Amino acid sequence: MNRLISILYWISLGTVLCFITLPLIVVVAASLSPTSAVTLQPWEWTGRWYADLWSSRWLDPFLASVKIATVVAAISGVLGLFAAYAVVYERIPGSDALMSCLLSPLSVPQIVKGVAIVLFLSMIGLQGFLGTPALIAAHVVLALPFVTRMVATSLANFDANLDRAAQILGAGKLQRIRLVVLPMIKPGVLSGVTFAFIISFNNIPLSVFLVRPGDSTLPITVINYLEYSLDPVLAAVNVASMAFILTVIFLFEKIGGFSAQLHGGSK
Amino acid sequence: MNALDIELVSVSKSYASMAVVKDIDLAIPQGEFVSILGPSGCGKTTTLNMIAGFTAPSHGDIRIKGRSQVRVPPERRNIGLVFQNYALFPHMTVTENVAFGLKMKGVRRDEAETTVKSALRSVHLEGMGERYPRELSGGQQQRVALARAIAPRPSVLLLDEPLSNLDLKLREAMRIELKEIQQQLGMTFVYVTHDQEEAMAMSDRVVVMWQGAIAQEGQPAALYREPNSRFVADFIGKSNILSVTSAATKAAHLELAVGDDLILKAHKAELAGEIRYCSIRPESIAVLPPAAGGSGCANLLDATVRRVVNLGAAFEIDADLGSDVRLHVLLRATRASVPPKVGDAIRLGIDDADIQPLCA
Amino acid sequence: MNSLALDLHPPARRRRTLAWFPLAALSPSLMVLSAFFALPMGMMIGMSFTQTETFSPTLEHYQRFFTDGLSIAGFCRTALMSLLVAVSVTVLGYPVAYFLARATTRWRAVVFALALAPELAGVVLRTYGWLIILEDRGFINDLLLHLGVISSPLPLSKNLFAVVVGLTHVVLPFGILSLMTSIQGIDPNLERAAQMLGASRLAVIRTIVLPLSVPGIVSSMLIAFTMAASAYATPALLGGAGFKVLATMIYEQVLFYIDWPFASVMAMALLLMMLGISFVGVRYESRRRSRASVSSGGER
Repeated sequence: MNRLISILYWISLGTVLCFITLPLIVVVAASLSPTSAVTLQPWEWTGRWYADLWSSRWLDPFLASVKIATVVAAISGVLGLFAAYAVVYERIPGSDALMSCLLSPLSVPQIVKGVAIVLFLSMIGLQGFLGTPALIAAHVVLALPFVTRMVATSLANFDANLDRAAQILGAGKLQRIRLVVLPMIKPGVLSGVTFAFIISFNNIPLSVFLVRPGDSTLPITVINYLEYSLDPVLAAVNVASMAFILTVIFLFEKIGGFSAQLHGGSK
Repeated sequence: MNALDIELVSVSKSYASMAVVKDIDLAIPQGEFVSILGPSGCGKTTTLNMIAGFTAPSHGDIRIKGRSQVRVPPERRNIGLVFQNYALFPHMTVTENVAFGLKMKGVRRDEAETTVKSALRSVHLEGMGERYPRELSGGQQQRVALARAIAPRPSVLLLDEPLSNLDLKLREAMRIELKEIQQQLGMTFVYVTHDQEEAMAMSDRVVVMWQGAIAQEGQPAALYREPNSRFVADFIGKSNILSVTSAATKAAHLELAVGDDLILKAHKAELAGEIRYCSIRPESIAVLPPAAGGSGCANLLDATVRRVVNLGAAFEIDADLGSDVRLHVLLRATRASVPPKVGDAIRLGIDDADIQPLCA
Repeated sequence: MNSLALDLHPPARRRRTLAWFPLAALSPSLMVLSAFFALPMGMMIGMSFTQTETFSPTLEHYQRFFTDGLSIAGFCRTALMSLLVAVSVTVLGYPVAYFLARATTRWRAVVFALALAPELAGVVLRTYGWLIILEDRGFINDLLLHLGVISSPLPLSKNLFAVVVGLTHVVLPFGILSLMTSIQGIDPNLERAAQMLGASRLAVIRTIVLPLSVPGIVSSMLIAFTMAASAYATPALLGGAGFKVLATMIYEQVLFYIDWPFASVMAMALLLMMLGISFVGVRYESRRRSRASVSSGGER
């Protein structure tokens, strides 16, 4: 009986892991095969879909996405850092209510936020704002609460006695922020910024309302194409953009790695 | 002769290349209260886990009532276990916790009810049955854990440092209670602890483990009186351990050279190997006035008092015997006794039987 | 400013010179969120209650929503789809979460990476993968035809099934994380204690692990439901043209029919569905908390 249960357990675990990885494997396979159909028949591997990526058709939306995601990460990183600093570190009056305000966009589905923003822009006659500017604004609204929450968590975990120790040792407020607080919360800020970059780069539900022909992001370009074709070049686009995301994470991890260790050691 | 409840036959356990338990042989007769005592990392918890069945031994055999248990899962071994953190089921009442084992055994409901009641009675928790574990104090939780473990009437009860989360007073009271419950039930208890006082207070037999092996086993009094190694002498109680530079058998005594030029006369003893240390318990040393006569002590040594610490019930005296030998002496405080002062000259009397020669 | 009195900070005179700074630090965030979140949301809500020509208050758009069979069907389809996703995420996620919570070997890191890696891939890649796998001439049908199990392709894509599969895949990592956190909170000694008392593996799971992980199960279901209900790309791509849920209907109303008031009403319906579900979760959590704290008088 016990035997049976543990066999069933391992089978279910294996099945779920296959379920999780199968689509990723299939996409990688499709990006290297001559047709989109991933069949059991052997096929000749080809790299030509990756060669096709080097055209303005894919490069333009990719660069647009990178540009938008970079600006969004920078803006929401700075704003989130300041907001969390004011609410958590300074504990300004009404900080609980302010925190709820800052986090409130999280409880509204993205597609609803998207509708609201596109209606708002049209109503006040700013359709010209659609495309990159509107995408940046909408993505900041999406990413800012996440960044604020991550920074706020690391500020809340920050041992206030370190700050007091620095104060007793004669450090002024700005010195303490620069020399004690910021280094300690750096991992939280960096992971917030990384996260902001990724959710902007991968976003669909907001972007779908705000793009303009010729001023679109990579995921939207891909899904518009996907609606009528399973062209394997799409698989190559997806694999390449995932590789890009992994590189970004790796780079941020490299920057934050050392201080993350410091942070862990101090707890 | 008592039937054997648990036998460990040359049991070893290693993780990767780390030997945690090395070739242990242990036989525990039915109805005995045995403590496995050792500092943390000595392998006692691994030994317990192997008896319970959570860990399989790398070599050797574990037998319960003569039958090998190596392939038997924990739930079939009919062993009880009291956890250090009690591990009470938080979503069940006290009664449900205690009844759990009976339910798993398929005991009839009315029968189970009686058993639960008597188990709760034996740990003095009548009337607490409807409470949840979080509503109980630490001591009460401890009793529930005990009641839960004994309710299904296991042949053996393992206890993994069950008192270590209680405060000192409660811990001392529970020692007595545990021993009483064990005697009432006539159940075999295997008690794992790092607290030598606990082990001495309750056990019929103490097994001292060190570095994965059994250092010594025996009755508490015998272990205290005749430790077989420096480690046991030091771990059980307090002791003065002196390095012996040479040993010689002379007439009625064994003469041990310690320090620069001091000779101690010890009882003759059969020892396998070279004597390297000797152990003298602080309370076995008599404090006499300077130049006092025999009183039957084999060793009379002059010393100077270096430090006196008042412990309330006793004074701890740090005595300098010269020639690089220092002894801690425990002088019982009585109404009449006046402790020596620092710098006083005293004479120490040590009986030859109180000097225990050690090979390791 | 009473909270400042408790602080170990320099005297008030020096403080005042810096008191403007926290407010200044906070204001950009509040301004951005007001301009691009609060204001648009307010306008959208207002629009759902406003008559298009006369700008007078009206409930006519809501009336239209409730009398329109297609809208109600879309609403119900969204709820059904989200419920199915919630259940399958929790059921599939449980064994993985249990493994991650209990394993100590190096395989734990491998499984953890496998379970969470898809999250980095983005929704499009995964949806594309499922399209290739599930379409009529896709991987599974090809395999089954090859083996002779079926003679004509099974309808695996462009339907509810495909959408539930795709969304389950998207949401699964979040379900696994919340289940894992909950199971990690269960003392492993409880399982060993039950085992020592004679419980088989199955009995340990049934009597100890499952009852104690109910909070994790609830939160996994809630996360999965809300994520599924608000997903756009997966239902749009895997469901096909005939598969309409609130998210895709909202998109159509905005970009094809340009019926903003009606789009606002649908967005409100989606928002209310999510808030309703979240409310259930908050109620459950607060009731559990109060039950635990009322009876914790004797603890420690």
